[in-house]
Amino acid sequence: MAILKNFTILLCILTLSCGKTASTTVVIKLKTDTYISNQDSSNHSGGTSLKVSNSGGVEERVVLKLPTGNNDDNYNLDQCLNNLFCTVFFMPLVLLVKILTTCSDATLQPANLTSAVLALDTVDGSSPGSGTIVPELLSRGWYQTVNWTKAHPFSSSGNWLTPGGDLDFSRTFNPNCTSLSSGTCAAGEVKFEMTDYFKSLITTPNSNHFGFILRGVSTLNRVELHSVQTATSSKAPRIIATYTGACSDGSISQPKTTWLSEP
Amino acid sequence: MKALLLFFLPLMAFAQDTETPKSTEPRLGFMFRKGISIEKYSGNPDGISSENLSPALFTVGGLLVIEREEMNNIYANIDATYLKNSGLIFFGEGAFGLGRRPWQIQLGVAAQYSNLSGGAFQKSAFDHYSLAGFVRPKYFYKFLDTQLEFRYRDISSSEISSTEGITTKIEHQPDRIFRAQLGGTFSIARIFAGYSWYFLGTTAIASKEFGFRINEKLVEQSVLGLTLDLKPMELGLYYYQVFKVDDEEAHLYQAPHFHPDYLVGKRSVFLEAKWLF
Repeated sequence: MAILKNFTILLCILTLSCGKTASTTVVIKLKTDTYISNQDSSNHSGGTSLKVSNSGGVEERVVLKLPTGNNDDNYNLDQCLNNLFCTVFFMPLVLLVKILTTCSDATLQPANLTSAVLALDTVDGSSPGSGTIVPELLSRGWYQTVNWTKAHPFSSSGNWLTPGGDLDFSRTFNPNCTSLSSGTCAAGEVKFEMTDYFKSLITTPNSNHFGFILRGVSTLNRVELHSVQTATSSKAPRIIATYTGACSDGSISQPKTTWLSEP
Repeated sequence: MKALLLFFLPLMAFAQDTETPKSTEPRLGFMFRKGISIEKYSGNPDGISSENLSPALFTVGGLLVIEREEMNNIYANIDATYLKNSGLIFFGEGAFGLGRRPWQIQLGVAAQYSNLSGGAFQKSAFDHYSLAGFVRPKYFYKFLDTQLEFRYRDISSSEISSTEGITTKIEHQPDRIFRAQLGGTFSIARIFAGYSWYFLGTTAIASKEFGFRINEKLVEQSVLGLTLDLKPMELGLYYYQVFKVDDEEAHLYQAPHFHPDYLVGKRSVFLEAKWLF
């Protein structure tokens, strides 16, 4: 009788949790970032903060990219040795997300992505003016030692064609804290709307993503942002993605790790 | 060719047949080698200064030679090379020669280990070990000697950076090296000219976040050498020049070789002294 009772309770939970729309929000932390300056060629990738400014001939830009894969360095070495495509930076975009949800896998599909926002936080809690910082896509790969003139040190081809970063103008983004698909910028937050771009990446497995430049739209006093290395983990650069969809397969999934770009 | 003839012809008056080994006792020796760079490359691997790419401050080593009979011999050497403020490179090579005059063929193996971390080369592309095998046919004619060599060298992968918790490694596919050399012995002096073709293996630099590939490259190196046999000491002076390096920065990652081949500078001179007892 006890078994029958438990089965009945489970059946009720399944009935209640499925067949209706559910939303899941996941936070994807970036793995690498830095900033470059037209005043020095130093390596800033290990710092705990990022700087962006454009004032008096001095310009600083943030360089960052989304995490690109689950493959370790040894696997990627083999890929590069045996794959001619690795003559340039090879970045299959496979974003790892640890999903802790009671809804089914069906919700977490690229088609169900309803919001994706790139979020950063200022170190001092100040809020730069809305629309003063804009993200732009980079058109080529870069290494952690990137500076104003050099994307990477491994070849003479590693120099930027345009000092400050080679940009891909095929897609444009709204500046900070404008046209966000979800939420607003609280004090100290610097957010950028990314839904369309993020969706295009995760619906096209093995897309190349070379990262972003964040720069001042016009004159901008220095804004200092938490980097990947910040001691305040919750304020590290991150993508906040929301998926909304029906729990279609009628099962309750367990906490698991999955790859968003996989079908 | 014309330059080579002009180089050799005046010395032919002093030519003598290449000396045939006669001793059958094992002989031990000592070697000292010092190089200077005449012309360096303009680019440097990340975090490494041009000064760090100078030839080793010095190399010291030991030699063992066993000559059984004409053209049949065994030799081995092991040495340590010190790079200023950087660390040590250990190298060992052994070979045995078989043949009947005027022919000889040498077969050998070599191993090299670089322990440069901790100095100027922290987390560098230069820290690795390598294993090599080679075959070296020789032909002697009067005072002239010629030799060819094919060498196959496998280089280990190494870590070149660990920033933001991300490890970056470098890995090389094996190098294939062909050498040709012509020498002449004139009294106590031996002069030789050689040319090497280095087919440097494809090199990959990768971490969890990215990858970069440097395709296989052919790099060439010439050497002119003069040795003086001042028994029991032998003095040698060598001039090296590297050609066909079209991407100097990529080359330094692809060919991080200080010793025994010095490929991290364009032109260099080495002085060597050996004592064989």
